[in-house]
Order: sequence, then C-alpha cells, then structure tokens
Amino acid sequence: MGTMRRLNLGAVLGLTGLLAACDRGANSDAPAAASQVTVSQTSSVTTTTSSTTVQTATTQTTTVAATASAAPLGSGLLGSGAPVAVVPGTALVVWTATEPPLESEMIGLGQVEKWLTSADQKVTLREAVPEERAFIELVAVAPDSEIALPPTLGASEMVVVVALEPPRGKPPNRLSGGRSRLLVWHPPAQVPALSVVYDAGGAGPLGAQDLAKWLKRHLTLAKEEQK
Amino acid sequence: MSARSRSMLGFGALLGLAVLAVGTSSRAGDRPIQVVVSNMTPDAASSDASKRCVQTLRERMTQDHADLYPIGETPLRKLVGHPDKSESFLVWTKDELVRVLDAAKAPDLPPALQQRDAFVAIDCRPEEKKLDVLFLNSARQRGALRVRSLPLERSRVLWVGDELMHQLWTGFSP
Repeated sequence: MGTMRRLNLGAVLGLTGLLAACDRGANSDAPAAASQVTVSQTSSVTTTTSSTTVQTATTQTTTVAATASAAPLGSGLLGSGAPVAVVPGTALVVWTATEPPLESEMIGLGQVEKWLTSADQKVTLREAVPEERAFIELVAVAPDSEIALPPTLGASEMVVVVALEPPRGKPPNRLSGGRSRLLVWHPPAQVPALSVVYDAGGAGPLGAQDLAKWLKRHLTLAKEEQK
Repeated sequence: MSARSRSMLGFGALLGLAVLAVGTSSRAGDRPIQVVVSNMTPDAASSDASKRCVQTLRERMTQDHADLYPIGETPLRKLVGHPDKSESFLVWTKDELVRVLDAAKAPDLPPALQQRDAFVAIDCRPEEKKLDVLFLNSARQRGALRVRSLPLERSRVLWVGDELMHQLWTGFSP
C-alpha cells in the first residue's frame, strides 16, 4: 500500500544570471537583467509515493502575499493569473496549503524571496511552466532520484526547490513536526549540488528559516568562489 | 597604593571578569554537548583531503563546546541494524539513530554526564566533491545534508560545521 502524503509548501526558484547578478552586487545601480518579477500561484499536492501518482489541486492564490509585501514579487502580480512570458531560468513558484497557511510558516520562504529580490542580489523570479511544476512535485517526494531537469530549468544557472511537508496524518497547514527540504541544482548537472533535509520538526517556521539560511550561505559562498 | 587606586583596580578586575563571562559562548547549564561522531568515509575513498575535511568538522564542533565520542563504522552499523557497508547511511531513520545515543552511554561518568545529546555521521570526499552528513540533534530531530559537485574547501566545510552545530544544539537541555 502506498503511503499517502500531502506536500504542503514548496517553492522552486530557477535563477538565471544569479551569480552574475551577485557580481554586480557592488553596483546596485546596475540594471537587473531580465528583471521580470511575476506570478506565484498556490496549490496543494497529494502524492502516493509507491505508485508515483501525483495529483495536484490548484486552490487559493492569495496566501503568499505575506511573503511578498517587502519584495518586488508582491507588486500586484500575486494570484493575478496573468500569463507571463517565460524567461528561462528565472522562476519562482510557491505551493501552499489548501487552507490559508499560518503566516509564520511563510516566514522562511519570505526571507528567501526578500533576500533574493533585494537590491544586492537582483534575482528575477517568474512563474513555473507546467512541466516544471510536474518536476517539482516529483522531486519533492523523491529528491534522491535522478530526475532530469526540465529543459527550461536546465537552462537556468541555478534551480532551488524548497518543500515543506506536514507530519503524516496531520492537516496540510500543520507543518510543525513535519519534514522540510532544500534542493539546489547548478545545471547542467542533473544531481542537486546541495540537499538539506530536516525530519520531524524540521518543517514549520524554524525549518523554513533554517533552509533560508542554508541557501543564503550557499549562494554567498558561490559568489565568493566566482571572484 | 591609594584607596582610590585600589578601588579602580578592583573595578577593572571586575570589569575584566564580566567581559570574560560575556565573551564566553557558554550554553545553558555550562555543560558541553555530548556528540557521538562517526567518520563514514569508506577506506577506499579515504585520503589526506578527506581526513582533513572530517577533522575540520570535528574541530569546528569542539570549538562550539562539543565533547566528541567517536564510533567506528562497523559497530555503528551493527547498532542501527544496517550492517551492509554498501548501503548509504543517509537512509537511516530517526529511531535507528536514537538507538545509537542510548547505546553510547558512558557508565564510568557521573549520571548527569552519561547522556549523549546528538549524533553525527560524516562521509567527506573532497576529490569527488562529495559530502554527506547525517545528524540527530538534541531534540531528537533527524537531518541530512548532501553536497555534490561543489569544491569542498575549508570555507565550505566550516560553513557546514557552523550550520551543523546550530542544528545539534537545537533542543539541548543541560
């Protein structure tokens, strides 16, 4: 029998030109290349791990507003559903609960977004295309499997997935005690360069913030290595 | 020495003690965290670089007030019930890791020091740009870290050590 799991919160960010943007960090007046900050949408994901069946139910579109209030991401685009041209490698998608998530649960992801979109980093974000979403849903439940990056993400300089999962048997908005996961790819490598997993208590606000911290330091180090 | 000078000297000494006390990053209860550590790097992949990597992590841990208790791979695998050395330790569950902490109690120590707070397993292969770390923190939460295709220079290893210690202290109780 398959184990039913509900994936709650997840984010993927494909970042084109991130490192180059980091290099520009000292000159905050420099224009951000392809700086299209676009739509995030929310959905819940129910998976049956043994059969790899993935069902996605698109639901609310307003709950990530809390994360966007201080970042360009929130410039009236969240949940608008407006079609957006895909800029390869610049992506942000947020999955969240079918019910409005606790605001505190969004803090960690909000920190990531805020930092990435800050003047220093100049990362651009965009909505994921459907095949990218399918990929995210798969890696969120089977992160160690070598699933090829979709072409649009494969063209990215970096791809980041954050997935928060509630404990088994808990409602999707009860992340405390669940699992949180951070995955970072550097295409063309198909294997995540960085993978961090916290079990049993890792999800929730603290877990998300910890993941944000991992990501920040990883990117900072990558920037230093570029110099 | 005048009374004023003595009083100033005393004040200076007190101030110095206060600065020392504040400057020490002691934790609640001033008890070091007791960490069971295992170097899981396979013999075939062991090298000077891998040893340096593991040593860097160990040093970082001791700098952050950790008492380390090494355990070899063979007895460790026996404890967790995964004797097959070809199997990755990253699949070990929380319950299996708790068994390690329970089994690693030191009977020769006072009861207050017998507990083991956390567990860390490390497989570091800088030549292959590969680092695996599995841990169980003081709150009995399991975590795993995997690095691939990134240079494992001292700066990155120290960064991993920083984050690792942050995790290990989580839930610590003296």
